[in-house]
Amino acid sequence: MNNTLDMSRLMRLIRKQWIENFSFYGMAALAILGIMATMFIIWILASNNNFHEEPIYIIYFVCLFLSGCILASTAFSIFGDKAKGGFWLALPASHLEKLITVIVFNTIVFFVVFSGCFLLLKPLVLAYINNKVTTHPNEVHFDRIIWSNGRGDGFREVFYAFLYGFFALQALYLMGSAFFSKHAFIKTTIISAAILFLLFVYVYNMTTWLIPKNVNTGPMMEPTEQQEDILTWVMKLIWVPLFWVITWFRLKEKEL
Amino acid sequence: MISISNLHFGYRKKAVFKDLDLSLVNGHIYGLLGKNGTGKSTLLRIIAGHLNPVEGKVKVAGFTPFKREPAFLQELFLVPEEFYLPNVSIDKFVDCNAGFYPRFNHQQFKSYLGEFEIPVTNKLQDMSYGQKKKLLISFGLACNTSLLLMDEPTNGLDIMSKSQFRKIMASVITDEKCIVISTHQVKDLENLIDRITIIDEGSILFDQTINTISDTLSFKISFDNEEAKDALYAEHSIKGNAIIVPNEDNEGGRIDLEMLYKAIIINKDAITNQFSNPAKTIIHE
Repeated sequence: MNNTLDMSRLMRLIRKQWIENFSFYGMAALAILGIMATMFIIWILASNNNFHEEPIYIIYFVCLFLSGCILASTAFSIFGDKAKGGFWLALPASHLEKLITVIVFNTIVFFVVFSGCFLLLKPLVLAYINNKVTTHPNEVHFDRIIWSNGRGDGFREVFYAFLYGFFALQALYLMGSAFFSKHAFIKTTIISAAILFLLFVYVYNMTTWLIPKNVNTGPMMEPTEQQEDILTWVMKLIWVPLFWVITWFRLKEKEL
Repeated sequence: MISISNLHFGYRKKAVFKDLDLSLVNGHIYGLLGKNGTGKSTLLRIIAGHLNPVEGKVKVAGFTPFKREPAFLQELFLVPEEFYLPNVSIDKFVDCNAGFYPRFNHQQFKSYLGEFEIPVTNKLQDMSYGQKKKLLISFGLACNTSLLLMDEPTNGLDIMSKSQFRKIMASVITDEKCIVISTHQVKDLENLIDRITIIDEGSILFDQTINTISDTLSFKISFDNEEAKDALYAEHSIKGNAIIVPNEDNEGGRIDLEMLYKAIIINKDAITNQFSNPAKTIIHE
């Protein structure tokens, strides 16, 4: 028997999670749809007939980051309840399978459902605005997004950077929920902010100590374009697997 | 089945177990007794892999419980005192969970539900605490795991259900199974368990089989005050004196678990000496 990852056991676990939480997921999807629709209505009313496409995506990302991180920080809240946590730990599946199941629902299904809600509402919003522009061309203005400007720093790049950021941050809050049984969202936010601040101070001090002012570092310090690309990709992609692996180890040593 | 040696465990400042040794084998129903807060539930949770010992070795069917490997977890079912059941119907619950236990028997499950008189159409959250507990016990038994741990299983059960519980439990034990029942309701385990383990102050206070106890001690009612004075343990009641005396005449008789428990807690030496050395120590309540 494979005690780390068995596909049939994983499928059974995913099915169990779906059947036991089906109504919760349905209500959560409706709540997302309702909140997003409300945000769009507020935006339309506040825009005063001067519409820009960017805020539509700002609403998308604000809602995505907030709801995604809150959901992730409740992923292992079962450990705050001895009865629920015990039921979960005693279930004959490996820690990896249990973690994958949590990721499937809290990250993948959530993202698909959330983006699905957005893609359902966005055409309605655009249709409404386009209709207003058509009927009142002199009073209503609508500035569309330029997705690519050919320089590599257009809206498309910003959009993808935010998506990477979302998955990394969500993985961080998922990890936080495995460490903190209660108030995981607040504790993860405070500790992450503190670590980030200390890291910033440390890097700043190290840089000023290593490279004194008015010293020409010369070409030796400049990374090549290829090195820069690799570093950028590593910095973009390392966080999600890193946080998931830490979460896995944390689950293995979890006590109740 | 279960081998515990040199177990040390504690919660922050409070030590629960100090150098605890215990060995349990298949084919028996063990009664784990003790006062509140003596570590009965903690011991079950260590055996189930929910807690990691600070020191010592715990092996269950060759597995290290805390690793919580699926091969180990599918051989164990824990009925905890505080338990959780999702808000689904009984059929859905079985459909979602039975597949994780390779020897789960649907017929057995239905039969236990019938014996406990649980209506199968109910949603789990609509059931009373007692019904939920009986459902969990039925599910745990139908899993046919080689190790079944039960923490205060009769808490919340009515008189009829306790009787049904005893009847069912007596029928499920096989040579391949080991059942450990932790309780402080000693009466509920009478005529059910075949070995008693009493935990107190972080260690094993008493650990004997029912047969050995029955061969060593005699439980009876006496109207003779002199006999009560000489007894290992005596309780005065309207019916006469309930006493524990050495079983010198090899009389077979019923063991009063509650009285034995009290006798051991109040004066361990008087009783335990009988198992190693038949000297008498008299104690009166």
